[in-house]
Amino acid sequence: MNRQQAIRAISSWLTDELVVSCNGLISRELASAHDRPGNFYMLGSMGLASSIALGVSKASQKKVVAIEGDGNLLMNLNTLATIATEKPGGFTHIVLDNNVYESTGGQGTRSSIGLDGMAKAAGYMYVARASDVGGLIAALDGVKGKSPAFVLAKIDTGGSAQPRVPLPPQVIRDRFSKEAGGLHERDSSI
Amino acid sequence: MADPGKFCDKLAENGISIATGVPGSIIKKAIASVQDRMEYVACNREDEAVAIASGAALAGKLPVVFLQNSGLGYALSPLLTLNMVYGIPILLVIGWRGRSRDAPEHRVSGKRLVAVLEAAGISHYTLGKGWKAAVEKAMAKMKSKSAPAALLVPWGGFDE
Repeated sequence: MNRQQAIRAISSWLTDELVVSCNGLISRELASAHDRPGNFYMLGSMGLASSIALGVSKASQKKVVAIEGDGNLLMNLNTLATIATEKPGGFTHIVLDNNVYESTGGQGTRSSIGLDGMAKAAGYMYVARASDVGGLIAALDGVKGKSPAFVLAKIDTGGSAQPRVPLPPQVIRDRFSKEAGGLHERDSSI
Repeated sequence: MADPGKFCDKLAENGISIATGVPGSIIKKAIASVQDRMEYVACNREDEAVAIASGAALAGKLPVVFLQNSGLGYALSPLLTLNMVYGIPILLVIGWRGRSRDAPEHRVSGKRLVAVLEAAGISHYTLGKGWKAAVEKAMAKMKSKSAPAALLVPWGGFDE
């Protein structure tokens, strides 16, 4: 399973969740495979996709999904403690783990420690690991309302290299906020 | 000097409805007070606090982030690569250690706090006698620019 196959599998599982995807190739792949207003493509702020997603869950009634890479999670590992103890409802944290920083040329990460084990130790209510498309779909189907949920998708390096997300940041923000139910409230306060 | 409870009432009156942060000596009473008025998400580090606040802002809330100036460096990464890229408004309440005589670990960052904020392009106001006006100015700037704005709180800025 490569990144493109994993993103396509996740896309087929999504319904009306709000999605926060991390900087680099993961947001590019998601924007290419399954662009929708409820996707927040993080362009910078590496490591913070799951923290942004937790904040979204504090203000929106919708379910929230964070999609990030192993390098992203390793940069902000303490997020596991915050999410596991905040216990947000309808929160799924998906990590695509290829053991490298592929967006910057394939330098190795430290993900061999087993990021799913860390999520389990932190206290996530559901933890699953998959290494092929069928397994990933089964892992996502197994979430069934358990939250916070953590799904580790072990992926191969390589796959497609999509162009940059073709949307200005303010457009990404405004259409996401509208989906989250927040644009009206924020605009009226501005 | 601001009473921490009245300060938090003022934030709520101005539309702030969620708080995140990392504790500090100057802001400890304000963090205790804010928890009586709205949800407070206790964070491990300041970048996480900014990111959680920003997520809540994207979904319609006006957030406040409490931090001490020693943690501003961590916060700058998302402030510069998230908030100021997309235009996501958040209010920062920064305990200003080292503005005047203070422990050695605060002297360098305290002396340079204003210069760092100005280099980053973040509007800032200092809490003093006219603290209500400072809160309103910071909130107005944050909303009109759809950007972060900071309230700096030196020792004595909050009632002890």
